[in-house]
Amino acid sequence: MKLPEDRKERTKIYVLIGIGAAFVLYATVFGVLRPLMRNRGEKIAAIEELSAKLQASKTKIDQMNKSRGRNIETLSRIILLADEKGYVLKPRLGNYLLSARDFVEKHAGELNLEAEVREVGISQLPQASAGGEPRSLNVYTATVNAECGLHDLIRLLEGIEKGNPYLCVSGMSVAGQSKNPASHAVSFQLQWPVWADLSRLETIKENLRDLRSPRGRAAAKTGEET
Amino acid sequence: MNLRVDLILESEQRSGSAVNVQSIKRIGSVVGPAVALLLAAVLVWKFIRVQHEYRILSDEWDMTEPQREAADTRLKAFQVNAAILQEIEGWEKARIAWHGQINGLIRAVPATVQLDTLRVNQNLQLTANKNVPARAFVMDLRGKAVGGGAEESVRQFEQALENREPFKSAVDSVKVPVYAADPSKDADRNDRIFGITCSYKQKVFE
Repeated sequence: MKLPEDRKERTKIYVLIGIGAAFVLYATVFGVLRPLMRNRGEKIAAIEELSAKLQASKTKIDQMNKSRGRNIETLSRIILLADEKGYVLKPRLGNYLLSARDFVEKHAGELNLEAEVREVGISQLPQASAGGEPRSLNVYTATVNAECGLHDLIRLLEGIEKGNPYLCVSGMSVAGQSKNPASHAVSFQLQWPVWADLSRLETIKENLRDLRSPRGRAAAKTGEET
Repeated sequence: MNLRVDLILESEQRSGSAVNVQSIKRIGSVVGPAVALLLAAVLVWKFIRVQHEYRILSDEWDMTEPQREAADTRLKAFQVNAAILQEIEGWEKARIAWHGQINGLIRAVPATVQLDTLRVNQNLQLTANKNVPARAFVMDLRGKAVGGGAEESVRQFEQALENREPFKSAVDSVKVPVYAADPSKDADRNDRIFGITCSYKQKVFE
């Protein structure tokens, strides 16, 4: 295309071309490039956020793999203490006194002592705040009454306290008897830990079985591969 | 006389220099848009690269997310289990083995002292600093000390409860709240009755 000879006409065409070019430039910058840049900025921020989240996730997955072994160890120990060794008192058809009586009478019987066991009841340990995490264990208290010498009492307490290192003699009264100075009227309270929720032990056993199962191992392995 | 003859019209005149307005205009009209296009292309390329990187990370996140959730659940379960074990084991730390204490008591009682009653009471409380449950035990002893050396015997007994094992490591304070003449009919005038209170250190469930 040839530009007109007339200077004015040519200038007009230059102005028109300039306006057109400015419009195209404006449209390109504000219509295409700026949204593109904004989008890119958002994407970069999202990438940084995703990278941080991915890093945190990988750390967590690593921790899970490491904690699997510790979790198995923890659950096994809970089961050993609470169930196999019976340190957490288990009720018999809802009756704790029968279990407590068996335990005390077994140790008293070894010393040829007669001990009477009476139930006091179940209570809770004091808690920091009403909305706090509930404790897993409650307190079962029973009173033991007997007549024996001080050395027999020591042996009886030794048997009981060594028989269950989690049980506590929470109160005691030993009074001499004028009729029989060698024998004392003895009364002491015993406190056992008991499950606040009786189904908890079963849940713990299930968790352990689950962790030890091939499915549990596979889950951990998948974590390792990521 | 000078005569000037213009052989070409003014509008037909051209500069002899290699750099002139016209050539700059021509070069600019090509280079300017080319640079602008190049810049735009670079920006678009960068955008595409970021977009691609974002997609790769998104896909990775989609794969990792369920594993992270599983890890979260397992870690929480582990923390709960660890807290349960700690709670169980806390019971062992929160008790006093009384057979050892009474055994120690027999060894600590002077020959001129006779114990009549022994009482142990427990108070369940929260520790002041950490709000953790704890047991606070108090042992209350009542007895008689006979003969002229009664006071010395009671002091000796008090000191044994303060300074000798198994009491020293367990007992917080020892007091003698009762010390008086024995009121019983058959008592000698030098015989004394006494009471000793031992407050034990808190045994914390943790």
